[in-house]
Amino acid sequence: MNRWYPDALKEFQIVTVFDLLLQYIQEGRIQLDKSIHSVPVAYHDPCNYGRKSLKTFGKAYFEEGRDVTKACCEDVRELNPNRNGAYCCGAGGGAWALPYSEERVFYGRTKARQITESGAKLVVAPCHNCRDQIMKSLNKEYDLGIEVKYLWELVADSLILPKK
Amino acid sequence: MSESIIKIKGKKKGSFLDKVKEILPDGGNLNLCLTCGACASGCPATGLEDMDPRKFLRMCAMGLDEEAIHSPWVWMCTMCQRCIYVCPMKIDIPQLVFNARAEWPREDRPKGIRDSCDMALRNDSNSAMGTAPDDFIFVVEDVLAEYQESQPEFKDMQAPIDKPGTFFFLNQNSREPVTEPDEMVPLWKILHLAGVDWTYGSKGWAAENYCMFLADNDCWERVTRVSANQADELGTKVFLNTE
Ligand code: SF4
Ligand code: SF4
Repeated sequence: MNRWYPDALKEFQIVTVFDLLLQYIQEGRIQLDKSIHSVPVAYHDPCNYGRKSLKTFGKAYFEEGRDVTKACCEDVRELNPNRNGAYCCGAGGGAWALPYSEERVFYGRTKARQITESGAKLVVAPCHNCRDQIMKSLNKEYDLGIEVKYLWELVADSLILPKK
Repeated sequence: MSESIIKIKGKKKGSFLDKVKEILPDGGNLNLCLTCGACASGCPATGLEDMDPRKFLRMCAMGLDEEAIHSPWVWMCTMCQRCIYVCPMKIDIPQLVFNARAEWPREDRPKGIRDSCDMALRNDSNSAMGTAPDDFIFVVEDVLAEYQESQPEFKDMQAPIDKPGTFFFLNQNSREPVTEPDEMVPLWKILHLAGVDWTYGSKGWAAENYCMFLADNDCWERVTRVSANQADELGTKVFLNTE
C-alpha cells in the first residue's frame, strides 16, 4: 500500500489488528480467561505478517501475535523453525485461486509435520490463507486432529464479559 | 560459463534476468548466486514440476528464459520469501517469480486467479468473490441482528457501515461474509467490549487482493485506490488492516 500512497499515508495511519489487540490487552480494556483454552497451542507465523511485512514495511509482526496468544493460553508451543525462518503453510501467493490444489497440499507437508511434532491441539493462524490451509486442507489430508482459530477468534472466545 | 552455453545453443535471449535486475534495487543480487542450494533445500515447493528455486534462477541465468518463465511452477511458489533469508547472498527469487508471472500473457495465466482479480474490478467492493456492496451490507446487518438477539450480553453491539467520522476504518476478507459470516463476529465483540468507534465501508471493504498475485500491477493499484478513497471520504482517522 505504501507503494501507491505516500500521500494517503500522511493523512491517515494504518494500524494492524495485532497492534490493536495487544494494546487493548495491555491497557486492560479487555479481560481474558486462560482456562478456556487449556490444550497445547501452537502459533503459526504467517509469511505476510512476518517476512513480507519486514521487507515491505520494515516491521515484522513476530512477537505481537505470540504475546496475544500467550495472554489467552497457558501452554503455547513453537513450530520450529519459526519467526523469520518459518515455513509457509503452502497457501500463499494466491494459491487459493489457483488450480494446483494437490501441489498446495504437498507444499504444506512441512507445516503439517511441524504441527504434529509440537503436540499442539489448537493452532492459532492469524492469516486467512493460513487458517484455511491448515484447518481445511492439512488437518484433513495429514490427519492432524487439531482445531484452528484466527487470532481474534481466540481472543473473542477468551473474553470475560464485564459484570453489569 | 553461462555465456558459452548460450552461444553454443545459439539462443541469445538472456533478457528476462536483465529486465528484472533493472527493476530491483541492487539488481536483486540476482547474479551473485553461489549455487549453494540453501534456497532449494528449505523451499517447500522444491520438487514440484521438477523445479526448485536454485534451478529456476540458474535456468534464467543460462538463457533458458522461456522454459523457466513458462513453467507452471511460478504459480506454485507461494512467494513466501523464506529463500531470501536463508540465502547467503540474499537473492530475491520471489521477485523473479513474480516477474515471471507477469511475463505470461494475461489470458494464459491460471483462470481462477485471473477471475478473482476481474471480480474485484467488477464493482466497488474489491471483493475477489464479486460480492456487491449491497450484499455485503445485507449480510452484516443480518448477522448482527442474529447475534444481538441470541446473545443478550451483546445486544448493544454494533457493526456500522459507512459511518462518518469514526476512528477506525476496518476491512474484511470477503471469504467471511460469503461463506462463513459468523467469523466476522469475534472482532466485533472485541471492538465492542473495548468501546471502539469503527466502521466498514460499503466501497472497498474487501481486504484481499488477488490482482497482486496475478502480477497485474495496474489492477492492483486500482483496487487499492478504491479502499483508500472510501476511508478518506468517510473521514476515518485510522485504517485498520485485517489482512
Ligand atoms: S518464495 Fe518461492 S522459491 Fe522461495 S522458499 Fe518460498 S516457495 Fe520457495
Ligand atoms: S541460496 Fe542463494 S546463493 Fe544459494 S543457490 Fe539459492 S539463490 Fe543461489
